[in-house]
Amino acid sequence: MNFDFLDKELFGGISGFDLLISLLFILTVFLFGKLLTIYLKRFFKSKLSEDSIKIISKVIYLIALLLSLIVVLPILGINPSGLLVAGGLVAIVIGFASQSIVGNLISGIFLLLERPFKVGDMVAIADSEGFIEDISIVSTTIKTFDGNRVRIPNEMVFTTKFTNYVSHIARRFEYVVGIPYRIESDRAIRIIRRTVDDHPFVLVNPEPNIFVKNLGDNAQEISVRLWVPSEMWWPVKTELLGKIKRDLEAEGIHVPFPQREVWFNSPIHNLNETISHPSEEKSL
Amino acid sequence: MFGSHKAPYKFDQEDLMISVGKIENGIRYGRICRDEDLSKVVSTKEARVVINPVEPLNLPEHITQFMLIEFENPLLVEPKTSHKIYLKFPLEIAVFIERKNDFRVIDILTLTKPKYTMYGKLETGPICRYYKSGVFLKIPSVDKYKEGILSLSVTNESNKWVEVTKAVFNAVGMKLYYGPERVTLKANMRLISELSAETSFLELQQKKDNILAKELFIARKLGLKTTKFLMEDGV
Repeated sequence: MNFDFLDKELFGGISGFDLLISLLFILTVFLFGKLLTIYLKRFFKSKLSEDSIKIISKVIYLIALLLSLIVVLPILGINPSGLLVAGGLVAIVIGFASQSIVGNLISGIFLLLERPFKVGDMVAIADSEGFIEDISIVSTTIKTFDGNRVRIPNEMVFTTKFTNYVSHIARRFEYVVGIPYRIESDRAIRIIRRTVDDHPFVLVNPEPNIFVKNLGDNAQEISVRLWVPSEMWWPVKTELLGKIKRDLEAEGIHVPFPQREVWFNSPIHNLNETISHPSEEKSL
Repeated sequence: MFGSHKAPYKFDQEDLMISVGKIENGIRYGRICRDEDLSKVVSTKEARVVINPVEPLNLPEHITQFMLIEFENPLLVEPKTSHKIYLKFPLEIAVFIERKNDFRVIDILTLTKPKYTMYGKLETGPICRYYKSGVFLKIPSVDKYKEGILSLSVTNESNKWVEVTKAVFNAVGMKLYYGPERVTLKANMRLISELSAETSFLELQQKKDNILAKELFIARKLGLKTTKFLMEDGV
C-alpha cells in the first residue's frame, strides 16, 4: 500500500499526515466526549433531574471539543494565539453582558449539587411561597398557592433565605385557643386532647403538647402544639381548629369576647335599676 | 365475607354493611362502615366482587409503608433465647372487582381508627401506621373484621436482657392470610442489641383455612430489594 500521500503537501504547508493526525484527534475527543456524557448521565441519574443532566453533559461535551480545537489548530498551521486574543476580547464583552447569567449558572450548579429542595417540595423563597415546579440550571420555578408561576433566578435562591417546609418528615404547628376564666382549664385541655387524639394524622409521637400559655386580658390562652406528617400539614391545620371550637362549644365552652369590668364611684341611675359600687352596697 | 362473590351479595354486621346488587349492564356497590357510606355503579357484565384483608396502609390516605405496633406492656427477653408472642394489628378491607384475573380496587374500609406516629429521628423518620396491642402468649380472640393476629418470633441474639416496647415493620411484602376464624400474619424480630432489632415478614404455607390475601403493595413491582426493617432508634 502506498502511503506517499502522507508526506505530500496538500495545502498551505499541511501534509496528509498532519491532516490525518488532526482528524484522528478530533474523532478521539469526539468519542471520549460521548463516553464521558454517557458516564455522567449514569452517575447523576439518581442525583439530578433529567434536564440538569442534559445541560451539564452538553457543557462538558462542548468544553472537550473546544480543547481539541485548540490542540488541533497549530497542527494545521493556524496560530490560535490570534484567535485567543480576539476570543479574549469577545469573552470580556460577553462576560460583562452575561455576568448575571453566569452567576445564576454557577448558583444553579451549586443548588443541583447541594439539593436543598426537590420538585414538589413546599417552600418559601424571598417573598414567594408555593411548590417547586422546576429547578433548571439558571432559575427555579415555583407554583404559588394562588396558582401563579414565579421564576426566581438561581443566584437569588442561593443567596437569599429560603424555607423548605417539607424537608423533614414531620412538622409542628400551633393554635392558641382562648377559654373564659370561669372554665377550669384542665377540662378544656381534656376536650382539646380528645379532639386532636381523634385525628389520624396528629402523630402519637412526638406527642401533642397542650397547656395554658398565657393569662390574657379576656381569656386563658391554651397553646395546642401538634406534630403531623409534613405532606399532611396544611389539610390538618385547616381542618382541626374549627373542630376544636365545635367540640368545646358542644361542652358549653365558648371562646370569650373582649370584656371590661368597670366600677363607678357614684351610683348610676338606670331606668330600671341603680348600679352601685360594691363598697357602697355594704353601707346601704 | 372474605373471598370472591357473585352479585347479588350482602354482608351485614353491627358496624359494617356491604351490598352488591345487580342492575342493567352492571352492578351497584354500596357500603356503610362506621357511619360512613359509599355507593358506586360498576359497568360490567361478568365481574365478581372479591373482598380481602389488605395491608393497613391506605386510610385515610396512603402516606407510609411502615407499621409500628406499640406493646401495652414491655416484653423482657432473656439473652440468647427465642420466644413466640402474639400481637393484634389493625385490618383494612379492600373490595376488588375481578374480571378475567384482572383486579381493580373499588373501595377500602376499616373498622379501626387509623392513627400515625413517627419512629426515630425527625430528619429521617419514618412515619408509621400506629397501633397499640397487648402482648399475648396464646392466640387472643379478635373481631376478625377489625383486627388480625400477628405471630411474632422474637430472638434475642445479644448477650443482655432486652426490653421490647414496640416493633416496626416494613409493611410492603406483608403476607396476610385469612381463614374462617381470623386473619393472620407471621413475622420475625431479631434483637441485635438493647437498642436495635431487625424485623421481617414470613410467608406461610397456603391451606384450605389459610388463604393468601391479595397484596396492594407488591415489593417486586415497587422495585424494592428488601422488605426487612432495621430498628436502629430503640426497640
